[in-house]
Formats: sequence, C-alpha cells, structure tokens
Amino acid sequence: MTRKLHFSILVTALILGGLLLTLYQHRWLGLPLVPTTSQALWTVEAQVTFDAQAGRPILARLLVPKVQGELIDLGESFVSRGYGVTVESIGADRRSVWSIRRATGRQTLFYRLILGVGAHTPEPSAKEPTSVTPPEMPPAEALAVQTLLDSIRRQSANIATFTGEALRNLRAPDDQSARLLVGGEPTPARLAEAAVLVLRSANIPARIARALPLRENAHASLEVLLSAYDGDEWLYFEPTTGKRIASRDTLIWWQGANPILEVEGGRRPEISFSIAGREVTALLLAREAGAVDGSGWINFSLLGLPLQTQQLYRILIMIPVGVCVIVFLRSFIGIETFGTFMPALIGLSFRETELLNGIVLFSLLIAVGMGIRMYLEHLKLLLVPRLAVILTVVVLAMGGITILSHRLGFDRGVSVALFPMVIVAMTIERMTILWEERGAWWALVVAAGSLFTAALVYLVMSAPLLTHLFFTFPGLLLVVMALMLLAGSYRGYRLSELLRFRALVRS
Amino acid sequence: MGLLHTALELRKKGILGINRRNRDFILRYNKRHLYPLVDDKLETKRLAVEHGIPVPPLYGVISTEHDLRKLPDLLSHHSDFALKPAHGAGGDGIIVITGQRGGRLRKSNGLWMTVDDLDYHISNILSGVFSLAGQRDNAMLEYRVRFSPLFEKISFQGVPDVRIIVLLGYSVMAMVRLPTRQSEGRANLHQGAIGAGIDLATGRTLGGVWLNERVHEHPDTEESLEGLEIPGWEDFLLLAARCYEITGLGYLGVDIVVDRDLGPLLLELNARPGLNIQIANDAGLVGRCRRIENEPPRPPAERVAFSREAFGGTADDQGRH
Repeated sequence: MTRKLHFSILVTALILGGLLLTLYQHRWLGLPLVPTTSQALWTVEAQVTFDAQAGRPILARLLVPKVQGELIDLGESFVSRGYGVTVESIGADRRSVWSIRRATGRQTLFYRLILGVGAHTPEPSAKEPTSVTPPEMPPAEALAVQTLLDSIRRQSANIATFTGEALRNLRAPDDQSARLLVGGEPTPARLAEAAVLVLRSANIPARIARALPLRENAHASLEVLLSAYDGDEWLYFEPTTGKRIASRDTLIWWQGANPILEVEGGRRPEISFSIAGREVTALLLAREAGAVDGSGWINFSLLGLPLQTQQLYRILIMIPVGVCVIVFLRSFIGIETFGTFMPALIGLSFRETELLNGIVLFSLLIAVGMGIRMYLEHLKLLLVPRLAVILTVVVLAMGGITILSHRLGFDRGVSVALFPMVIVAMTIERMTILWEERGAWWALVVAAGSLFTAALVYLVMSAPLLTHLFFTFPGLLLVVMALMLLAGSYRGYRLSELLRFRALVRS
Repeated sequence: MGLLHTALELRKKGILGINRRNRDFILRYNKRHLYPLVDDKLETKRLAVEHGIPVPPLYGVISTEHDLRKLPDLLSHHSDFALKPAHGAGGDGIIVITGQRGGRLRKSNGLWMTVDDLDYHISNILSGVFSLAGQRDNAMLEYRVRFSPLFEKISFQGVPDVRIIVLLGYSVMAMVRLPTRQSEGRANLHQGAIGAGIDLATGRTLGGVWLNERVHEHPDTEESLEGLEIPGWEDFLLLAARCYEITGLGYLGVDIVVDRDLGPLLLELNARPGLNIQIANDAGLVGRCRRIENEPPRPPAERVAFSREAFGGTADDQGRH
C-alpha cells in the first residue's frame, strides 16, 4: 500500500512539476507554445539634425517614447558623436537631453528603439486622476459643446463609444456646432483638439497624442491621435476615422502639448523617423526580452546555449520521447523488435534520410548484408571477425548506394551514410540467427516490427510541434518520465496477448 | 469492441499477461542475484546433482576455442549426445546427435553434419550467438535423452518434456510439450511444438495447443492428445517442488524429460517461464497463484498434495474455480 502511495506521489509530482515549469516558462517568460508564431521586431529610429551655432553650448531635447501596452522595449540607444546624453521624465513623458559644449556644422543625433510585440499583457500602469477641470471657453463654443454632448450622450454607452461618437459628430460636415469647434478644414490635429475640448467638458480625461504607426517606412511621420482615459487605461483613436488604435500597431511617442524637439544653440532643427521591421520567431523575441528584462532566467534554459549546441540538444531532448513511444509499443501493443532501443537509433537516422527513403535504404542495406552473411556462413568464421566483415560490407554497400543514387540524381541516397553502421551490422547478424533458428517468417515479422517502430519513433521525434515543445519546455520530459513510470506499472494485457490468447475465449 | 470483450473475458478467466507476470511474480519472487543459477544450465546441473535430483549426465564442457581440441576425444567416447549452449534461451542453438558414421554426425532430424560443422556451431556458441545477452558462453555436451515409449505416438522425432510452473514451491500448472515436424523435433512451443495440458491431480493429458490454437490430435501422428497418463506423476511434482528450495526462486518453470532408462530427469529451469501453458490447459494462472500466495510454507511433499487437491480436475472444472 505504501509503495503504491509512494508511486502515485512520485508520478503526480513529476507531472505537476513538469507542467508547472512549463506554465511558468510560458506565462512569465513568454515562451510560446507553438513554434510557428513569428512576430514582428521593429527598429524605430528618430534622426535629429540641426546647424550648430558657433560658440554656443548646444542642448537638444527630444521627447522619446515610453513603451507601453503590448509592445516590449528591447533596448534603446542614443547615437551621437561627442554629446552627453541624459534621460529625464516630464509628466507622463520621457525626454532625452543631448548636450555638448561646442560643435560646428550640421549635427546629426540618432535615437534608436527596438520594439517587440509581446504575447503577454503587461501590468496596468498606475491609475491616473479621473477628475478633469472643465476647460474655460467663450459662450458660443460652450453652447456648441453642450449641443454636441447632448447628441453624443444619446448614442454612446461607455468612454470608447463616447469618444467614437464625439469624433463622428465633429466630422459631420453640416453640423454647425462641429464646424465652430473644429474651426476650419477637419485636419486630424483640429479634430483631435476639438474632441479633447468636448471630452473634457464631459469630465473625461483626454489629450492629444503623437504616434508612429508601426509599418515598414523609411520616411515615417508622427500622426495625431486622440487619447481618452477610460478609468483603467488610455484609449487611442484616429481622429479622422474615429477608429480605435490597437496598442500593438502603434508606438505612442508622446502625449500632451510639449513640443517634440527643442534645440538650444542650434538652427533649422529637423526631425525624421524611419521604421524597419523584420519577422523573428517568437522564441528569439522572448530570448531578447529576457535578456533586456535582466531576469536572465532564460539564459539558464537551453535557449541560452550557443546555436550549434542548441541544434544538438534539439535532437537529444527528443530521444526520451522516442523511447517513450517504444515503451508504449512494447508494454501495451507487444510489438517485437530487434533489441530494445535499436528502433530509436534507426528512427534517429531517418531524420536525415526522411521516412520513405530511410525505410527503403535500410531494408536494402539489411538485405545486402544478409546475403553476404549467408555466404559467410559457409566460411565458418568466429563471431567477432564475422561481425567486422559484415560491418565492412555495410560500409561498402553504403558507399555503393550513395554513388549510385548520386549518379542517378537522387540526393537522398547520399544520406544513407548516416545510418549507424554498427547497429545495422548487429541487426543483420541477429536477423540471420533469428532466420535460422525461428524461421524466415518470424525474422520478417520482427524486422517489420522494428521498422514500424522506427518509423513511428521518427515521426514523433521529428514533429515540429513536439520538437519545439520539448526543446523550449524541457520540464515536459518530467511528464514523459511519469508516463514511462505509469507504463512500467501497467499490469494489463498487451494487444498481442489478446490475439494470442483468443483461443481461450472462444472455447 | 472485440478486443475489449476479449480483454474482459481473459481477465474473468484469470489469464496471466506478460506485464502482470513480470511485475507480480517475476520481479516479486525472483531475486536477481539468483538468476545465474537457472540461466546457466551448467550451474543448474551442478545444483541438482548436489541435491540428488536426477539430470542428464554431463559428458564435457567446451569453454574456449582451445578446448575444441577435446572434441574428437569426446566424440569418440560418446556416439550420441546433446550439444547445448549453457546460457541458451528458448531452445536456440541446441543440436542433438543420434549417431556417427565415417566422421559424419547424424542429427535428430535425420540430416547429417560434418565434424567441421559441429566445430563451427560450437565456436558460435562460445561467441555468445545464442546466449541471452550475447555474452561469451560455454558449450555443453550431455547425455542424449532416450525416447520413452510413453510418448511415442504423440511426438515427432524429438523428446517431449514436461513443463511445470512452480510458485513458492507449489506446482501451479503443468503441460507436456510434444515436438512436431514443424518444430523440427524441438520441444519449444514458439518453434511449433504442441503443448498439452496436464491434470495436476492425475497426471493425465488434457487437450493441446499448437501454434496458439487448440488441437485434439497430434498433427503428424494424428493420435489423440487427451487422456494419456504420465506414470509416476507424483515424482514429477515432487521434483518440481524441490526446485524452489534448491534455487530460492519463487516463480519457476521446471522442465523435466522422461528417459527410457533413467526415468524423469531435470532438464532445465526457467526464471521467466512462458504463458502458453495457459492455452494448453485452457485455464488461467492468476487465480491459482493467488490461492498459493495465501498458503503457508510447507515441506515439498505437503505442497504436492495441496496442488493435486486444489488444482486437479478437468480443464473445464479448473476454468470455474
């Protein structure tokens, strides 16, 4: 009884441990469960240029984005020759300050930010005061605002719809109140300013934000967005369409009324933006995010290894999974194979040859080898020299197959060289003995069982999803181990026994 | 659906499966350090002789290539013999020579082989070709068991043997294995020999099983497999029961042959006996084993009495226990 309890605890602990580790890696380190999710990595660059005024110290202040929402800050850099750089906070915004005592000629400063799009939602930012002082305005405008508010309130349910409605009403070309508030051609900036006025009059915190849409663009420009606070977070709207902007598609550069760039001691300041994107696997992104976070935990996983070593472990870590398949085939199905784990090794070499080619080439090798082995029988050699001869024959046969298939233009044949020669030689010997002692039929049954098992092991070991899962979450191997333990305690019939003992049921 | 039904039926009948045999009996009752006693036939023979259990006399052991020089001498002294790998499993690698003429050897299947062939076979045995884990092995030459007229009509060429499963010294189930043309005179079921169940109480054969199917006549001789009485059955059971004391292994397959002149001889012991005996007897091992596990330790003779009493009867009766 206690052994049973011990066993259950062990199995449960392994499964729980494995799953918790996986959950932790997925949920908190942001490692993806599926291998194919490739995600965008954006490099945003702001280039500031101006002419230095001779003899004056230079101070350039640039508002820089505070990365928020679903975007992940993967590192920013300030590139400038000879300038000192500091970053300061003003209100809700961040500002970088470049300074130098003297400089001549055209000056160029770069601000570069690398952004990832995260899979996890970040913790909510600190609550902001919800009360707003209603703006002071002339009576005519106050009346116009009031008129608009009445119709907006009828058509909206919450802050988001309220803001959308406000923008829609302000855009209406024949609405007198709207025209008065917008005051001219409805540009995004004018619409946004008017909307801020309307929202604030309704006690909703609102402001103008400037943002860069995250699209590949060598000459990007800031767009004006309207932002409104719904009590939890700031929502962003495109003023001309009233559409809500998802935080993963847009980089909010700054909010409020401060100018983006101020240069003291410089003339003709200009600023331009460029955005370059590239697709990276989510895994890489998580890795970089981990490195930036400084959590560094990821560096203690397989993902922290050099790429070549990673490739090796991608294969190694799947071997227990393949072996688990064999365990199940043996304990539950009762398939006969040459040697316990020989199919795992053959399955491993199928990785290089691919399945069908692998099976054909392997069968060919075994057939050739057995032919030679039958011949050697007449020479009556000792076992070890005989095995050595078979091994040599196997190598020669591999060479022959490779040359032939290369001549015929089948590239796959070349990979025959990756079969484990020793295993092939041993298999040939064992199969020959089996052939003689138990008959050809039985030898073929066992050979078919071995090949089937090897094929299944290969399919499992090379499935992209499984490889990704076990490589990224090695904790899952604990679960595999638990499954093996469970298989080890299975006392029921094997499928092969049901067939074998059938006669007992019929009678 | 059919498979589930089969599984349930087998369970109801108490049929023992491999997984359960390994876990509940072999792992539980057979201490690993005792395995060499039965895996090495030479060791088994030595133990048996030490305890006064009759075995086929040993003619000689060849353990190195060098020893092969002894072969001509052995051949000149013994015109017929059985050659076995000491660590062989499942009857693999066994050659039975029934006579010699002009430097040639006649095998039990009637074919002839040269001394060179025998030499090569022995060197294969020494290399471990037939041993369980492929380790180097010894070849043993021993007395060739003479056909007892008892089984003449229901066996083809080879010598039948009696297999008794013994749990904690109690006989659980028994069968006689009969060589066929298919098995080329060998007495192993997976090589095509027939297994016929034996009523533990009387020593009478029940129906048989051939290639996993139930049969009532021998396929080669067409004689009925049922109702044949094994004389001196009590001796068989006693011999089997004593193997528990001499080896210490709790779950054993005891193989006994009947020699025309020497009577019952212990051929070999098996720490992982097969499960086909259940088909031969049309009965399951589980229920009987459970009964034995509840019995106290007793001297061999009392254990035999218990087994004959508890597990006797026809196949049908046993099925209902």
